[in-house]
Amino acid sequence: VTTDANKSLKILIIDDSDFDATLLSKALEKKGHKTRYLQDGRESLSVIDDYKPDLILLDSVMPHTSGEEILKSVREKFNTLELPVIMITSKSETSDIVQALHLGANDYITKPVNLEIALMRINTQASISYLSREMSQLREVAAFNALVATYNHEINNPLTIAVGLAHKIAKNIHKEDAERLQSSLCRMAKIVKKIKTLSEESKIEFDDYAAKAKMVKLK
Amino acid sequence: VTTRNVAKNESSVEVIDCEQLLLNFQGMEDVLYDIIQKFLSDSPKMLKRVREAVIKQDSKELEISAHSLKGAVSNFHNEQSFVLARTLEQMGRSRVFTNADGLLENLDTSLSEMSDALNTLARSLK
Repeated sequence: VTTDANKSLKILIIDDSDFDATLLSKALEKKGHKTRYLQDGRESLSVIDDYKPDLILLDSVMPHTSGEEILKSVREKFNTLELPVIMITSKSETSDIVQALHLGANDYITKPVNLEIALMRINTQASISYLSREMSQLREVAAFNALVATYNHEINNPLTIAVGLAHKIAKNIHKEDAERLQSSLCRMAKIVKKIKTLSEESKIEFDDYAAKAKMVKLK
Repeated sequence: VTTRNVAKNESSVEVIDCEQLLLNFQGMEDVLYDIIQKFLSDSPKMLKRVREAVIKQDSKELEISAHSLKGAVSNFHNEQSFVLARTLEQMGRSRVFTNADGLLENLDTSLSEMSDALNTLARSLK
């Protein structure tokens, strides 16, 4: 995923017309963007997973799968801020434009493509998407820091007292039990340390935990 | 190359709107040149597909093939070829083939004129 709004974008062009796709692709690459061209819309989702585009240009009229159907399936997986979709339509297809906007298209451009307008709209949508991701990341960090502060207050302080008490108990018990207790205390101390370092991070990274669950990646 | 370099007395000006075309490509003459070459190479195949659809009276194929040709033509601001391709597309959609042969011949002539004009323009871009 692009990390800078002004950087080169990865744009997926889904259009059955080799001619129109070539025109767009050449113009966009000339402006410093990367493109991938897909003629058969039925492969859209797997190509999106593989290519991870910043934005999609989607033709509304195609023979096998309509632009509308592709848009619906894209929106089941990505919202308008995660993956902007700009429809490419004919000027006469006004009802298609309205329907596409209802279904979650971010914007549209008409054929014949006016490159100046197309590039402006692409840049606008990419910037909105980038800023939204940045905002969401900041909110994520703020929420996590609040969680760590809560942890420190509710768990870490009583745990420190417990560790101190356990040290005292260790003096009055058998050597083997004292070693076991010592080992447990070391593990607890490590966890405390790991969680403390998380509060110093500016970005939260996640790992897969179970099928639909994520866990915070600890360094 | 600027719009001024494309002489007004050249045939390209009469058939295609060169000023609009050059403006639309935002000074990317190399991209325009490549696209003209692609059109010159692809349009005969696109027209052949439309012709075959008319011969076979295949309405769906006529709609799709004429739609593709219309899209390609529209980039060069040639009203005549655009209107003919659009009419054939609409005929495919409504499954009517009346006078399709005549329209096809007109489209063939119009595309030939357009290709000559684009060849002239491409030479001035080189």
